[in-house]
Amino acid sequence: MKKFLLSALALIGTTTFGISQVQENTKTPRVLIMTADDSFGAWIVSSAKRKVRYTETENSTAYKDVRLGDVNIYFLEPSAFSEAMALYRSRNYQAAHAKFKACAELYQKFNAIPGNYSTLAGYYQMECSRKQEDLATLGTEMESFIADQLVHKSQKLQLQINDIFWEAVRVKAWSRLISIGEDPKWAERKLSGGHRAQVNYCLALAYEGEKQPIKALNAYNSAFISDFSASEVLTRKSALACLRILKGHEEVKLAMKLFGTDEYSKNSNGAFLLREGVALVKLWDKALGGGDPLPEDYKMFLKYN
Amino acid sequence: MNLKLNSPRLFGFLMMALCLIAPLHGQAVREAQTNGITAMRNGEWAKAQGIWKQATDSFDGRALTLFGPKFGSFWYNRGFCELRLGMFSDAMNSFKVCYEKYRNGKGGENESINLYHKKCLLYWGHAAKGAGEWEVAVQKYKKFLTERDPSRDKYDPGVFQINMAICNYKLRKIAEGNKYLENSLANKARLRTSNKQVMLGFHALVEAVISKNDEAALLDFISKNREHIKLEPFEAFEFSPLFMKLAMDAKGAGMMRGSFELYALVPSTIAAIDDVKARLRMVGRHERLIRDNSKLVQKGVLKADLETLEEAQSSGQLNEIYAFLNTAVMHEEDGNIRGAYAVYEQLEAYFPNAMILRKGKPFAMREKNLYNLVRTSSMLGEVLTTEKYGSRFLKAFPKSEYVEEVRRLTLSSLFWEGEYDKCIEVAETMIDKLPKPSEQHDICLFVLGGSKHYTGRFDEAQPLLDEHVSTYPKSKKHQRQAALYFQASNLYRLQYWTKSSAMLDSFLKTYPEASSNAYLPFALFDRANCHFAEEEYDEALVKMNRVETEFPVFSALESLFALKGNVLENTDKPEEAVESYKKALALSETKENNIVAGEALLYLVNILGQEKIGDQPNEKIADAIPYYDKFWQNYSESPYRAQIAVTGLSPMRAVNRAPEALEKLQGVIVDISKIQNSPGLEEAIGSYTEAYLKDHTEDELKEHYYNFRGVDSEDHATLALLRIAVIRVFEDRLGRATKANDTATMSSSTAMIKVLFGELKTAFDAKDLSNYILVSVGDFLRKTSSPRQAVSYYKEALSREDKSYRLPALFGLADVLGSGGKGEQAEAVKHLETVLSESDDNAEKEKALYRIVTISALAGDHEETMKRAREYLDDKNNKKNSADVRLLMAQANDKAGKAENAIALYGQIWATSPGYLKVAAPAMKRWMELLWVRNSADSKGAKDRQKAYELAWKWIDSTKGFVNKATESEQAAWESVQARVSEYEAHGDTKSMAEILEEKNN
Repeated sequence: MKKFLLSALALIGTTTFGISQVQENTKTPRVLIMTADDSFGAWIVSSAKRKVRYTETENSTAYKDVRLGDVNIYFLEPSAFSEAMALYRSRNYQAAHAKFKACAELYQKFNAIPGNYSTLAGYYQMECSRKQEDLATLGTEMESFIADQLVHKSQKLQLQINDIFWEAVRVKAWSRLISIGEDPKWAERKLSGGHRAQVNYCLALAYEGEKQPIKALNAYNSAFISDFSASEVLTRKSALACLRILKGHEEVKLAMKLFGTDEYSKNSNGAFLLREGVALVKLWDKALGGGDPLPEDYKMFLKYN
Repeated sequence: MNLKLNSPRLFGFLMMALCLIAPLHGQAVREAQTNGITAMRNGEWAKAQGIWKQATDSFDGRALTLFGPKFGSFWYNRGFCELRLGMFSDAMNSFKVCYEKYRNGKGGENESINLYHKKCLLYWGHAAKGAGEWEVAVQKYKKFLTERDPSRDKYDPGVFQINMAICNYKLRKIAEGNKYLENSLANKARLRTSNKQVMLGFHALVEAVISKNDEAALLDFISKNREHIKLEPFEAFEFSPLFMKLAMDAKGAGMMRGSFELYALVPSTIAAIDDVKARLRMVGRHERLIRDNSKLVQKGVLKADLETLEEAQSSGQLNEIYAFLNTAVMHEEDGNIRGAYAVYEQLEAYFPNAMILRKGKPFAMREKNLYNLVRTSSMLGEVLTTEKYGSRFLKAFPKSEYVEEVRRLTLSSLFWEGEYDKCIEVAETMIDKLPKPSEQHDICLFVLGGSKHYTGRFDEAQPLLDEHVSTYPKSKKHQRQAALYFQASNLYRLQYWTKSSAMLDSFLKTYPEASSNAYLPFALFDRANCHFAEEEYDEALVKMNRVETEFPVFSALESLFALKGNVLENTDKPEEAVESYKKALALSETKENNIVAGEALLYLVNILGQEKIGDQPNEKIADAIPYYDKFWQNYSESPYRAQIAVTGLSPMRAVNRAPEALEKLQGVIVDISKIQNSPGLEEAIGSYTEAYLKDHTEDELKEHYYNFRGVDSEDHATLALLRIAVIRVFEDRLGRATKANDTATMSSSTAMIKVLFGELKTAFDAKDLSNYILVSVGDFLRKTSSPRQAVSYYKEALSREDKSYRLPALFGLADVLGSGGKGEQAEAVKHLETVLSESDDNAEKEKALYRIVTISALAGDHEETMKRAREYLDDKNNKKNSADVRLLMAQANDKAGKAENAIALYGQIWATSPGYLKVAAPAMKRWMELLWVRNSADSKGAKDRQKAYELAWKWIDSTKGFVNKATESEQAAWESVQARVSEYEAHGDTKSMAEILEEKNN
């Protein structure tokens, strides 16, 4: 781990070199253009046929052209995107969805340039749909989305996950989903925590759909530990799914019935699963519920503590 | 974050300071100012501080007079250098002097102005913050805001807000701190607050929250400001150690939710690498810092971060490892084993090279993670996973401290390695948790059944193996094959010869090829054992010869030779049998199989040491001795020691070593006596007694047993058994004397028996004896000439809280009381009824009901006798005494005046059990008499008297061959029938059989 140094001087002042962003509200995105010799700030006016037209001052009419292949373009984050992202990070996915959509449209004409904010906003727009598990909308958005200019590999991988796993969830193609999820290509693939959470969650839904409750429990647990509850929606849903499975499990029902009697066997499978339910209820407030209250239906587990 | 000398802001400040100082008089002051500024420009803070210090120390006394307020800049510069050098207290003092002494308008040269008079308040605040004087810092910051000249005293409002927040958090004024921090966040763009600055404020907030144990404040802040706290992976990476530390601090303070909110801020290393690489692609050749909104992007930093991240990834020192491990611990502590299991599974799959820092040194975690994966998966009953990772662990970490534990948890590897007790321990706790049918259950059931088979728990193994065979016909091929063999072999061990034979035959037919059936020789050997048990000796030899020929290295070949010897011995081939036993001995000695070696020696001593071969004395009896000696020399701990001690008595006597043999047997008795309630003890004492008496008198035996060497004086059970053995000897002597009508011996034996009983009672307080020995003594005594001696032993056993041997004690007591008066008989029946209702043993129940019938009959209660006899006869399990019961029933009907019933019953008895003289003779006699009295004729005209005489005559004729072998009382009964036949033959109402036969012949 890198040592974190908190110095008394750290906040004496910040000296910033290079280019500072200027607040903008226009449709012309502020960028840095890097040539072989230099780099400079600019406003992109248009792009077409691998060429970019820009001005060096805002609202200027002194247009200049440059070939995309000759330069690097760094897009400074536009406020439209910042606002949407603030909502997204605040977990207000519905409002964020609208903002990203607007941002994507606002900068649509620059979407042939790598790293542009139209493509990126379009990507996050879909992420909002996914987070809300609005899979029908996600499916539609996926159809029209052009991913070429995304610069993050993880984002392209997310699109694959959307296409394979979430689409299978949408059409409830459980056996197909299980077959793919258990395939070493996916099962052994090095994924980030967020991606692992999704793959496991989808797989858990499939196991549940195929009436394989114990495998479903395993997969739901894998989902909510993958990124330490950072995927808060999946964490919450996975925990509730586990409680749903446990409450409906025949052996758990029997264990509940016998609890406190001489016939209750602590070593039985039902008793083991019942204790698991109690544990998840306890963990709800600590890590799994994300601040939401535990639904009344599952508070009964605490009787068996 | 360091101020940089090539910073335009700093450069401007230094130039301005130079201009201000220029008009000052005096060479020394000018030199100081020039040198001080130069050193500062060069970032030589210590040198600069030394210059400013010397100047202020030298000139401060008259400076205000000579130079006016502008000399305050010397103190300001000195403070600035001290701030950079971390000399916060000194800096505070310098800024204080600058502010308090060099106020503008206080004399000196015309227009002398201290441009830093207000600005130094800001830096005084910074210095106080650095010195941890939070109150002072807040005070100075506020004063600066109040007094500053907006046109001249510029400052970074974003930094100012964050600093105010930090100071308030340090003062544990969380709400006040939040006000500043949230203000900086809300105006992040306008105030140009960087994410790094935000993180410093956030750090202080979390520290304050943990200190005040106010988790709600943390959760509320995160909820409101997640958009600012949640950074892009490339930026969040830098703060991961901070988040980790804070998460762990929060966890330590019991703030689990807060802890997880903090863990959630730690980016995945894969995501961070991807983000950094993407941004590197974006910045291209641009080296300078890019301030992109609140993000600070700089190629050099990105490259360094990428290097660090990739190094972390390849070395396994990743931030998320800590979060994973803490997550696992939390889930397991709260009882969600499955959550912990999921963590360990991901660690093994994605972070096999995981490292953590332990005491400052990297520590590889895979061994422990993999162990925990095996452990938690076994707790969940994930048998296949446990198997998979258990095997992986054992291969990767063969010398680990967890090896034993992992082997214990890994069922099939445990099983195939022969750790059957451990298998049972693990499988028994697991099996009820497994869904049925399932692959996990398949393995678990197989291992449990197989382990119980291999550990000799055959009765427990059988239902498990039967279930496996019927439930999992499609089990893995090798498992299916093994289960079928275990099932069949286990039945053989349970002595279900016929059933086992059928299964073994089926198994041998299904898996005939040795190349694909490792159990083939074992199955053939087991089948040979079954053949032997069913006396199918030829078939047994065929199977064994196959094993010998086809499997010359069969692992149990020595046992096979021993069995072959048994077969040959039973087929009158003693010489070949001896050769086979010798082969068994030689091979078992080579393989150091002491059990079979001891067994082979026993067989050799037994066969070679027989007193007679046919009717002739065994001339070679001494041939047994070397084997006898070898046994005691090399295998004296063998389980066959008691048997060989007894078997060896004859040959040892033949070579005049009887005392030595007796000593050995005595040693065995002593050893067995140390095993509580050992069932072989009584038999060993019996053998010893018999052998001892060959060379000694009964009186010597008594003396010998009363002082039996080696038996602990506190071992009342064994000592009592020895005394009983003595009584038994004198009982036998009494029996022989009675038969021989030797009144003198009868008298002396009776007297001795009385003395011995008295001594038994005196020497052993019944209260010192265990229930087992009390019942054993009682059982012996009630079969002697003084059965009532047994009563006190039974009653002592029944009086205790320890209920062991209760039913045998009740039965024994009832048996004695049943021969007593009416009251005792009633008590006896009551005890027997208890046995009848409580016992699970059919033989015990049969015996109790039979005794009830006999007691009822003895008591003359005919109705009760008839009723209980019917009860006995109606239960098909009761066969042992059915003829006797039928006789008692017939006699009860007879005595009750139910002659017709009696005639029918007596008739059944002698007709169905004609050779069982004990009951057939009295039944026949009484049947004859009743018919004689009835003197009637049946529908076909056959007359009772003729019928009685004729059938009795025939019975006498057909049974006369048995009489010589019958007991005296049976002979007497038979002769009384014969006398009655003669009597009736002489009567005029009958035609003699001689006449009848003569008529037939004619």
